Amino acid sequence: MLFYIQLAIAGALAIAIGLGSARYAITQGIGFESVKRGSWTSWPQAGGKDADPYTRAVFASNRELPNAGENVVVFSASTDDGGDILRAGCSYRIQGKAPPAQYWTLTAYRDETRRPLRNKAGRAGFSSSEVLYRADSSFEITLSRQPAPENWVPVSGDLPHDAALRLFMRFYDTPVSFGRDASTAEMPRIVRGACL
Amino acid sequence: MRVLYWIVGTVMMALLVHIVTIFWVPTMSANQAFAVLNRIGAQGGLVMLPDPEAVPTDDDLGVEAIPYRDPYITTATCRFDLARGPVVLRGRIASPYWSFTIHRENGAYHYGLTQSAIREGRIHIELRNAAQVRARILDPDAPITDAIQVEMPFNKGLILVKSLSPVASQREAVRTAMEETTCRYLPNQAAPGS
Repeated sequence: MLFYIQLAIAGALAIAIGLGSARYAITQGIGFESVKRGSWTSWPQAGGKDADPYTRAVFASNRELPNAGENVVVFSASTDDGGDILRAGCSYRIQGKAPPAQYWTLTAYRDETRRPLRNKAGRAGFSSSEVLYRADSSFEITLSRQPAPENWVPVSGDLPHDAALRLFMRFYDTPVSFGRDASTAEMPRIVRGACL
Repeated sequence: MRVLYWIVGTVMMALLVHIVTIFWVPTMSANQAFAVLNRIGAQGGLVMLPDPEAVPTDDDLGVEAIPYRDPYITTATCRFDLARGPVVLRGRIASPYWSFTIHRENGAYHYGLTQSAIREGRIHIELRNAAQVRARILDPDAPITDAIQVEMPFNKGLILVKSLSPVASQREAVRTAMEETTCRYLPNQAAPGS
């Protein structure tokens, strides 16, 4: 009898640990091929024929369309450089230089709806053709409720302060060296400002 | 010593559950985005996806069926079944970046092209299965074409066409060019002797 009780406990523990660790790996985006640059994560092999099982699981659970065969590198971030979740009630400065690509776009999404931010300006982000650059070819994009100089992505006052945000930076028509080795990419920093 | 056996056994079982779950997730929830695409439009026609920003308000908590789409990208899809005949996709490109990818019904990537593979801003691609390729080769009356020929190892799948508008003012031209792009079936050529 004692044996069966021990077996039941061991089985329950194994299922809890196995499922819990799998869920953690998927929600945290842990994959053999994930590339981390600061707060940004990329899965260069996502959707490809050689994607590892973890990468497949992450994309399947997110229901995203991977960019296989498109010469595109995609980075996403759900936290700032301090490791805190991006929130609608805070302001953020996305500053630095973009890795080489013919074009890039940076878009802010409400994580709950997985849709681009809506605001009166109709602007959820900037493309490389729209952003204002500084003399050293760096840029600074501000994501905030309050108007900001240079490149401003307004966060609507209708959004709850604690609504989680997610940023995507996509690089189209990338040089082969960047597309195959995104780990060398210097991504812009995400610096948190004031919070409400 | 017995405790050690139990710990090792539990860890082994946990590892097994972990691995099975990781492999199970993609097959069960898999490619939900492609499940949505597979329901859109009729087979053998190009259908444009609505603008990802085209939602009433940010308070609408309906989750986007295909999440985190780039608003700078216009996307169109064409479902096909080569059993009904070869498929030809033809159109004009009004964008500095576009991509054309072919996927199986379950979303698995098979083949892709970007704008560097075409000339003069025109896209012209024909998809055939092995029997249709053979029938075309053996047909002395087959028309000469400048289309990119793609031999497919499967009959059912979908094509994704994505086109970038780096500035908002370009979007209308990109959408118009995409709307003029056609995806249709060609008549099946009978293989000689069949």
